[in-house]
Amino acid sequence: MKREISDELLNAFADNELDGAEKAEVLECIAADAGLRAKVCETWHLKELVRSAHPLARQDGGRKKPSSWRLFGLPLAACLLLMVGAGSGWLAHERYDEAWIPGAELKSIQARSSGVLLHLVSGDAADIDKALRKAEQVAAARDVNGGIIQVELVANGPGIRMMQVDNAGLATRIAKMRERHKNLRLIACNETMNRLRERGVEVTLQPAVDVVPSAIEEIATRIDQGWRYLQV
Amino acid sequence: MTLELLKFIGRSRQFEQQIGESRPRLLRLARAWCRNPPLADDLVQEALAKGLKNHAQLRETDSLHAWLCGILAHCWHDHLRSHRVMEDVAEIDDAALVADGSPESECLQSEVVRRVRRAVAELPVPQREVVTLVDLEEFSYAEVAAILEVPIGTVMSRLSRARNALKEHLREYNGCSLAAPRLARVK
Repeated sequence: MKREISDELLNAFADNELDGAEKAEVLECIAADAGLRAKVCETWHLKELVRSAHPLARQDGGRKKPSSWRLFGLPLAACLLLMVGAGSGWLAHERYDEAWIPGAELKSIQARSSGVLLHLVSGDAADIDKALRKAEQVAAARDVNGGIIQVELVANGPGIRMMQVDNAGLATRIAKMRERHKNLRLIACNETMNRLRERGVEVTLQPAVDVVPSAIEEIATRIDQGWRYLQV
Repeated sequence: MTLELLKFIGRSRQFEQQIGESRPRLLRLARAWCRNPPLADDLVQEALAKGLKNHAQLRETDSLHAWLCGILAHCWHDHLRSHRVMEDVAEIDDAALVADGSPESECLQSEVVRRVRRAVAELPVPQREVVTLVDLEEFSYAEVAAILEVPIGTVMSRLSRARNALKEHLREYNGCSLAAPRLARVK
């Protein structure tokens, strides 16, 4: 029986909150329902709208100009630390580097997956870098039988920015990755391209990039084929 | 004694770095919540001061930012309670929505940015908090639930209502508007 997909569940999918089984179930429904696909795309675009409309202030993110906090707050921090002592273990805890797929997950991919689809919605430089690193990490790995793992990096919305020919630095990086890994495929969403064209924005993609009619349909197809889906 | 001092200096530097990374994100969040840059500055300063005072309660470095966001939420809620703030969307100052002191002038002048910020600003406070924590800070639903001290189901329903309202407000942009100017700029 077809499951009823609520707005809450669809949001959870768009936010990468669902586990493997539930995600696969939602994807199955999405694959069969154009209305659901449109809703997911709309949510991804909305997320990016909200994020892009609230950028981090450059002054706050940078380290050039000392703010009143840096002038007075940090010495205060040092004083407080001195008062409470140095016994807090969390200070020395290592940060998790989310630019890489964790070892356990990679092992699981090597053991079971037919392929891996990495999905990039964001056009943020840091997210693009994460997506490329993860793609290269999987593309360089071998499955348990020593075979290569097929990898697709699918971009839609502002994620398309990664695949534009105009970005020389990224184009060079991607071209080198493609030379090293023939099992890596980069894919752009034609729905996004069409929306941009409607707005008078012509986007020229790098030669190595393939175009599919819809990112969400590509995702649904690959999930059906037993691929692992990872959202960046 | 010397070794202890060296350890302390090392940890202080790490702490400084972590606070330095969190502060601009807290500021962005506070500005989205209260729509008042000077108040947002005050809330963040208050949250950081409380965080410094109580930092021994925190054990995991990875959760430092989430922990600080929780403190910021407390400060913000205290402010709402103590000032009995009655929000009137008609009184939202468009200039305040963009004049937040950041140098992102090309971005701030954008009509789309102004409209998106206004749409977020017009959301009821609980929905505004959830959507910004999920979409700006990219917290998981469980983390948002912990920060706001509400059940995950409440997070999901607030998020759903918030996104439906935003989609209604921003329907004319067809979801791709912010991408277009950026893409046009790099061509």
